[in-house]
Amino acid sequence: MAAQPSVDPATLLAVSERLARAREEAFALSGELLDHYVETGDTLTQHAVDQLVEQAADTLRALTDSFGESTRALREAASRYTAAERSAAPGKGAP
Amino acid sequence: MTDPVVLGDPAGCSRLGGAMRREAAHLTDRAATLARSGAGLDQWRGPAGSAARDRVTRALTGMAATARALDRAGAALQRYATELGEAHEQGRRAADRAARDGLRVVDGRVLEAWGPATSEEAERRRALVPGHQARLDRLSSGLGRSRAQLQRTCEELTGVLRAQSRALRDAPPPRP
Repeated sequence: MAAQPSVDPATLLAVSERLARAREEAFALSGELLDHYVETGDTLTQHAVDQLVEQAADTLRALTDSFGESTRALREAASRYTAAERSAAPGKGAP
Repeated sequence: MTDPVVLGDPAGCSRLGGAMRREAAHLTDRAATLARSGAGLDQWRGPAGSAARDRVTRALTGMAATARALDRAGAALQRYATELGEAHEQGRRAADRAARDGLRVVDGRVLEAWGPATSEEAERRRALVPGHQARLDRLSSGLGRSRAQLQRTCEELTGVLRAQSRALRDAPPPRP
């Protein structure tokens, strides 16, 4: 018999939804940064600003990936725990 | 049409700086929401729960650090945009003053204007060059300091953000 989960699967799904939204936002922010082009008027300064913008966009994409992985992991856990609950109480919810 | 004495686009720098600060505020706000929501994972016992909490905590830490870096970068760009705008104005005034004295500014150098001039007039113009050049050099020097400051800030924050990317990507994958 599967072990009873210590957390409500609905809680996992609620957190995963928040993370999924954060993932979409981080992805959008990354794209918005790259849409900007600035002219600083100096080659070295320009290079430093361009590098910063590219790195900031990359970090936002790393956040995007991290949120995406956490979202998937929580959804899978919620699904497993829901199945475990059903198998622990097979008559529950039956017509 | 005369060449601009100072190069660079203050409006573009200001727009990017503003966008970075808005993104920083948004990330900070979102991190607070996620932290409240993520507290729901505290009751999740066992290795899977612990790993999930660690991962969310790591992402929130990265989010907060990214927000701080973006806010600092945005502020630096806005400051530079202001200084660049002032330098543009001073450069225009310097070029106008030089033109009134029969001189022109090319690539940061004050030269005699084209066209015929008597030897007395040419002599008078040449005598005025050092004063105009000194004014232009002071402007250039001040702008150089602003640019160096922005460059240092950008390089430092690029390093901070790179470290965040690495920490996020090096995190262990979620437990099945």
